[in-house]
Amino acid sequence: MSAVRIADPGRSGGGPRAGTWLASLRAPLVRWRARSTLWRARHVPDVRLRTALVGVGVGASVLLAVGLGAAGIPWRELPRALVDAGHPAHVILWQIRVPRIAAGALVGAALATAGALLQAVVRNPLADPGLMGVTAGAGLGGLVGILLLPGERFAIPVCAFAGGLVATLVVLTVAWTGRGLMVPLRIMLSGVAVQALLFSAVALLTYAFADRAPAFVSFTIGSLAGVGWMDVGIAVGPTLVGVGLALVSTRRLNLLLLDDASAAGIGLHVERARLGAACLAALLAAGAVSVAGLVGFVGLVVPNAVRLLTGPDHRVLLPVSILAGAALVVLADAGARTVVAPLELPVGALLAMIGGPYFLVELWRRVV
Amino acid sequence: MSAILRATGIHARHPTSEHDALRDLTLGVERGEILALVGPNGSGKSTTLAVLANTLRPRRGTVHLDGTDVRRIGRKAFALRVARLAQHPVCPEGLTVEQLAFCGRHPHRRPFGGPAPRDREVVRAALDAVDALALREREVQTLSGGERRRAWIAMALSQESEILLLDEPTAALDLRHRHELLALLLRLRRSEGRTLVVVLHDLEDAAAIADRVAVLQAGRLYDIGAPADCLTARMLRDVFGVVADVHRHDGRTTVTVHSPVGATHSPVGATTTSMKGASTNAIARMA
Repeated sequence: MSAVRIADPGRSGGGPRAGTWLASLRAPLVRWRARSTLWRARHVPDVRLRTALVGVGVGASVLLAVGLGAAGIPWRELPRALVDAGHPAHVILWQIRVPRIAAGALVGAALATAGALLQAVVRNPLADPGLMGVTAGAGLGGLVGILLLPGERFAIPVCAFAGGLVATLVVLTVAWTGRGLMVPLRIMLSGVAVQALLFSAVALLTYAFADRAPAFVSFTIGSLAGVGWMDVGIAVGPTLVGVGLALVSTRRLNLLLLDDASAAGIGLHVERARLGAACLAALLAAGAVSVAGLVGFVGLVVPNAVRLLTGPDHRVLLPVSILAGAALVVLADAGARTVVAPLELPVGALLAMIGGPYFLVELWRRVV
Repeated sequence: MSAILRATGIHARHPTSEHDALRDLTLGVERGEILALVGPNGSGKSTTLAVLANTLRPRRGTVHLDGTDVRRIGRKAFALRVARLAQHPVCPEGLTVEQLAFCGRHPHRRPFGGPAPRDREVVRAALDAVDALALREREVQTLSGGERRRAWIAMALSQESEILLLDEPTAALDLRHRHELLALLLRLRRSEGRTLVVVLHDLEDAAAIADRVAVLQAGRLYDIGAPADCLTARMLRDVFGVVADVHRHDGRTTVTVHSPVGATHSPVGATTTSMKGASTNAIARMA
């Protein structure tokens, strides 16, 4: 965290000197950056208003997602279709759309929480659930599930969940035991190594069993297509437990942002807090990935975007991130269902298409 | 022994280091004293403080707080009694001075709920003590070095612990704030009976405020005792490697450095290490 600072527009012209052609090219951009409301919003003290706005956004996106879909149910009919069991659209809504929205909200909330937790654990805003090897482990687990138990509906989520947790266990064991302390850099490095190893296994499996590629592909890209109440049932436990525990430990997360010596000095058991938060993140990410496949970028983008609005205090950052993550995935999935209906886009790819440019813009606006 | 904090036979090193920074160090901190830790760069002052603060586990040796091995005291219980100002603390982006000071209340607060009126009171007093009330809405990262230092000291003060371990609290402070800080340290000891262990580079400051001075050399205790006994020309030659005079007059100590040991002439002429003379009296008056 501490490595990244928002640019102070008054001083940001530190690059080329005035008068050069580059400076004249940059000047309007710098002015725009100074005026940008997103940058200034951080300094508006009223955090409650912003939290409320995000809450309204979640409600609106859920409503929108219920209304949008391949079946084309008229908006006026919606309330009746939802409550009247005899209505022709009733089954579509309750067996297809609503569970999918519920799963999307759970996945988004879980990934955003996991991202925020890990960013505190490694004290770096570029951390995301993939970092702990969770994503890669769940990916490999899911593929093994597809291969070993073909046709079993529950095999993929259960194997993915187990794979994610095992991978995290390996990462944390290396970072935690070994000769050194569990410092952020160790976690990141062992995470990257485990991730690379697991993804190469995923690639080999995909190559070796190319005949089952469709199931593989939709899992590795991340998609909520065909998600039903059973998947919601799988995701709801880890998500609620993880989100709940994260919400009650926000003050500890704040202290984790200080350097280790200072945090320990005011009574935080730093390594224990770090280990706990990392395990919580793994639980959340594994739950999300087991249902939706390898959905990327939510864990990375949501907490960072929210941090711009709320500042680094987890007591605000975390609840707002949870809401925003849920809303983002629900909305993106509604988009994935409708943009090229009746075909579907994988929501994971859609999110990466939003997340990538967002991150580039963010990078451009920041001074390291 | 009445030592409130006692380190015995400490061998310690940085987690990433191959060399022991402390070699068989034994040191007792008496209740209600100001103990100054002095010594050249790399002599183990900060490591000593980290070991006393229970944030660095020694490879050998033990630390006792009031006769209890610190390894058997929980982090929070320990933080209630001992506060530490680290040498290079890091503050996250966006955190304000006041929020940082509130972090110091962590050991006093229950797991849930907002700050109590008492927390607010203590934080306010701590910010006032380091003249940082006007800075309380500012982000710590945007402050100057000295202002940041004061914010961190406010956090340590907010802990309301009876023992304070301060690693170079005067580093980066301007003349006035340094003076005020030294006076504050004296006040904490005299009127509140707190125990302080302070790493200081300025020997005149050490002489001015400390009851005892511990001189470290290459991870060992060279000498410990009253400033008048420890801060001698001989010590300066042996430990710091400088030829210097130490003058005492009216309770003030002045150190005048002539040249490094072995040099035939001084490249800078005779220098005194800091603001001369007046310091002790002025601080005593302020306290």
